Amino acid sequence: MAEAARGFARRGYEVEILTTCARSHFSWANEFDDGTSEDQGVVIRRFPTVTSRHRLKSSGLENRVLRGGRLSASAEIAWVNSRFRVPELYLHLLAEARRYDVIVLSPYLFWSTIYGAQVAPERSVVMPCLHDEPYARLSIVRSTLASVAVVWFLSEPEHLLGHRIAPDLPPRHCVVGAAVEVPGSYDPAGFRERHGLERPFVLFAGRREGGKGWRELLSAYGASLVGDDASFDLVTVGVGAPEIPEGLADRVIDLGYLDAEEMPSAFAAAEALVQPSANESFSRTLMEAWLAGTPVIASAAGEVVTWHCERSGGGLTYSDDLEFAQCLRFVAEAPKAAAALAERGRKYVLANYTWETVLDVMERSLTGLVRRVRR
Amino acid sequence: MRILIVGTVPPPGGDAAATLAEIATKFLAEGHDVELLSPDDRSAAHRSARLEGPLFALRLAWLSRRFEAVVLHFEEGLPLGPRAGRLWRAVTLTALAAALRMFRETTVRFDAASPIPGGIGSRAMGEIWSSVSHVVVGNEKDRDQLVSLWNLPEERVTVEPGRPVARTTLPRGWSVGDDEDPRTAVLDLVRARAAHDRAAMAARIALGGAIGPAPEAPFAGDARRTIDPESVARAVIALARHLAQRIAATDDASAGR
Repeated sequence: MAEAARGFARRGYEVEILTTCARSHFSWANEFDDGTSEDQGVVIRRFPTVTSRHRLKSSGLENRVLRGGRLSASAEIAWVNSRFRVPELYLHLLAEARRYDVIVLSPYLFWSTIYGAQVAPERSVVMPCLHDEPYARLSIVRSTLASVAVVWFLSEPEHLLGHRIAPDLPPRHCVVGAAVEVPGSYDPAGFRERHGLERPFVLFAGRREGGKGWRELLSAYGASLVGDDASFDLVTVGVGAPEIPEGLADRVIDLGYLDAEEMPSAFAAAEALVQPSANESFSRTLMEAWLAGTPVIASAAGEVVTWHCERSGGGLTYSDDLEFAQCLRFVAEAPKAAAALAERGRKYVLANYTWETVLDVMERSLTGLVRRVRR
Repeated sequence: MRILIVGTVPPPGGDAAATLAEIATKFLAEGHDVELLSPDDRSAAHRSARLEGPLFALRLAWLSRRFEAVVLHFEEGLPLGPRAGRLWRAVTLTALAAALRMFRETTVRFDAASPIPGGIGSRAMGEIWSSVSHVVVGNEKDRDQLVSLWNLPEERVTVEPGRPVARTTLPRGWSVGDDEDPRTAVLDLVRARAAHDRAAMAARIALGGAIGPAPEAPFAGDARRTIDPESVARAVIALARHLAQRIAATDDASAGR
């Protein structure tokens, strides 16, 4: 979102980002100062978050949602309110909504999107970043998607999921995709040296949590070590506690959270990117790996990543631990063929997911909306 | 009885391998101790080794100290490769015949005559036929030849025609044809190889104790997340004890006061 905002600013639009003072989406603690600042031509307004004091009630509601139980409308609102709220952002929107031609809200799960979309639905665009998960099936999500002027999806599978979740989507919904910055250069040797990585490795980049397939990846990687199939270490970067099992402690290396400038070299240094998550609406890491010329091994359970792998002809998918081990063997034993697949992925990213391409699609969608709003 | 089975067992697949696996399973069910020795390092056998030439005969002689019976399957490269010269063949087969005589019971099996060094009628093979207690062949023609050429009693030669078994041949490389889509072709290879590994696991289960325990993964999933009722009960009891002690200590203190 921030990069899209900067892209629109570069194209001469006046853009403001309304966001929270939080850094972590786990704690929602206010770590940044509230107030207004400017960055690369974009005005940034930060508002403090308020978190629920009723932890027990919050976790009870959360468990009910995750079990797929039906919640009453008031219970759904209580659940949305129980995570975090940004009352001042809402008040700002109430007062200033008409000052904006368009208000883009994302992702679907946040209080700011669900409440913000109600302020001026006729000029609101929701970019939901949907995953096929219990939260997405709440009726409040369906009504939010149905109420706004435009819905932007990041991929075709997410678009189809949107139809399943909200059959009454607004007619002006579309797939805009997402974009990735093409790095000017990579420094794989420097990356290995800076982080003391002596053996070849495959990379997992993302949140180390259940919803992202981290535990499944550890299990598949552990299984691949039987019979010495895995000639690679597993390096992981990102947030969340990786909780590496004792048996894998010498093969799984956690580098923690890396700066954005360091990430391209991490992708370039890896022998392959592994993407075990089934909950992806776009999967930016796939694109970044392909751009770096790095092969991709992804879980076939993820509709979106499978779609990218099939469409590009550049990524391998696995259905179980044995196939995962064989994908690793392929990368180890046929590095040239693996690099050729990655090259197909790189061409796919450059053709579909550069900022210029994606901003063009977004701009066309917004131009039509603005015309209607001003009428 | 302790029985040694020598030959390729799954994986890789194929009729003969499947038949050997079946034989092993049958012996196990009858209560025998069975060990498998395979020339293919992909087999789910106790061990694999190059089973060729006089060294193989020596190995078999050595193993005869531990096993009363042996089932030897003649197949490509076992007991001799196709390029073995006449002298090498004669030395190997003589040594092999001597080794086979050291077992109480010996069975030689072959599905077709092609892996028999020099053919069924070669002079060096005569030593083998005279030293085995039973021969299992794949067709009537081979049985007739054995009986007529070597005067083997008919009851010592059994015909077991090969039966159709789904073949799963392990692809050796990752080569992709020019006319193939590379991703699809690689994924096909990945799946074929994984199917092989799956067959190995199935064979391991089917052959049970005959191939020893499966190698363990250093991490096999989320066992830590399961709740063990016993440990929960222990924790509850410990908590109850702790509370009871606290209450008793408070009572003592009150009484003392």
